[in-house]
Amino acid sequence: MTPYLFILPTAILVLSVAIYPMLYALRISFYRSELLAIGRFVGLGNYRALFQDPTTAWNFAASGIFVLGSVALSLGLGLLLAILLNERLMFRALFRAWILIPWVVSQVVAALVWRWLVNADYGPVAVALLDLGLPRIDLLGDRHLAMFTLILANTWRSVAFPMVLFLAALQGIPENLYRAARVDGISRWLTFRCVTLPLIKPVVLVAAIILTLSYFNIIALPLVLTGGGPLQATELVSLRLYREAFAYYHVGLASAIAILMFLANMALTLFYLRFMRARGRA
Amino acid sequence: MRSLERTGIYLFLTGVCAVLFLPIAWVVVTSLKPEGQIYLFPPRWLPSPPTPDHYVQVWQSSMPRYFFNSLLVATLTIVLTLAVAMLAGYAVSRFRFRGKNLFLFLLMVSHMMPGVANLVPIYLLASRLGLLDTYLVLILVYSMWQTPLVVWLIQGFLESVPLSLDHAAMVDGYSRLGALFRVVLPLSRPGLAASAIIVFVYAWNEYIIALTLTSTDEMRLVQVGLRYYISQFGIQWGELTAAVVLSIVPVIVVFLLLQRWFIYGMTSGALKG
Repeated sequence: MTPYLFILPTAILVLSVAIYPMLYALRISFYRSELLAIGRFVGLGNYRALFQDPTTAWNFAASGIFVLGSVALSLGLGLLLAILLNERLMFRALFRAWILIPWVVSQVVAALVWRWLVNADYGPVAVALLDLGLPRIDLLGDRHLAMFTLILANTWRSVAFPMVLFLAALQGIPENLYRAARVDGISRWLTFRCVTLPLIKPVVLVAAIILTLSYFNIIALPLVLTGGGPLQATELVSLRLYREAFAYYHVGLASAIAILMFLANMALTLFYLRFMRARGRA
Repeated sequence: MRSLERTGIYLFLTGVCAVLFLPIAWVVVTSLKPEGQIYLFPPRWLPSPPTPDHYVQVWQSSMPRYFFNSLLVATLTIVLTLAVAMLAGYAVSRFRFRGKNLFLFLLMVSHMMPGVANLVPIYLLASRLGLLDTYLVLILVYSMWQTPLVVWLIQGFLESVPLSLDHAAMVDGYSRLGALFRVVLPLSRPGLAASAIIVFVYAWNEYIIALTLTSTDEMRLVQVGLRYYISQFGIQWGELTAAVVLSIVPVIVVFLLLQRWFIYGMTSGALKG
């Protein structure tokens, strides 16, 4: 009985409240909406409309590129920084706190500042590049560069999150394991692969899942930084959802997108869990 | 470690910090510029002379009240989230029980729904319960949103605390809860500190829920307040950047306070003998 008592508060707090919005969205996704009112029942009509619209596939693909790039970059950089900042260094606390700062800036403000910085005409970055004799570069005007800039800004904003987690996980590793490895003359790389990585794997997995879900559902940063442009290049599926709901008031269609995103997120999470478990056994 | 390697690490870290800080540096510089120098072209790199005007303006606005609200909500969210999630995280990492994996998975399911899709139903629910425009509703919704993450995190961290320590504590006469609070939690302090920081940053930065669930000026949080400097007709960059700089300070303070909990090699002593 004990474990059930321990999880009861969480179950009440989370599941009871989280289930309701989900069922609500599921129901609305079967209706046509007229402005903010719920119209007539259309069955799978909203879903059919989405599948017949070629931009839907691109929205998901753009999200895929964005999520994959951001997760890879922030997990890699976060782990590297955590390992370095776990060493006994001078100014260690200062470095740690410093890296935290971008994480604290809200998405809207981060996007506004980045848009100003990289503006091709009056942004400080562009002006500095011109001063150095480099050609004019429009980071937000080119399809590929815009996606790249978006991923970079997103990583900049969120890399502290995995870093903090990995740092805490590294602190939990008993030091005598490292001492033993050193005594046995095992190389640093091998120690990392065979001691550190397996021990922090549960935390890496959790970080990967949390980051994937939050990147997939991101709205404010891309909305303000690129607005989905140029030419839909960064029109992530989350932005499409936002637009359908709050710009065109297609609440039924937006709910259908939300349900599709929900399914995609679930598939991704299951994939991570399966992948990590399979790797653990090998 | 060899000194060459050390120098390399310092150079790398300084470089990363510099690049990460560049956009923030622009924010700081802008906040100190006199109004007329903010929009100059080509841009002026340093303010001459630097002026605290924008900070004074922010301080004289409603911002201090928003800071107080945000601090209160964020702190209570940490307390509620950690209290609830600690129990569940412990249960999940220490007991075998039916439905355990299902429970963990269902927790994450709440995060698979895009946040905006939750907005309307949560608003309707809150208004039906008469909780709109209160601290309580913000704390409840934020805790609801963060608890799944923290349960997963704590469970991940507890996995690395050896089970033998629980047994030793219980042999010594502690109850389950006693073992949790006296032995296991102190050892997972880095994980708890990290979770507290993550919850704090979330609550401090959250914008859309705070905007939707509050309506009076006395209840607004910092991020909603920042939006007042951004309008359709333009952005008041001076005040906005000053307010952003001020909004960074509390998080740094909280981090520096909690970072004492990130103590090196803590379990090594517990496992000896």
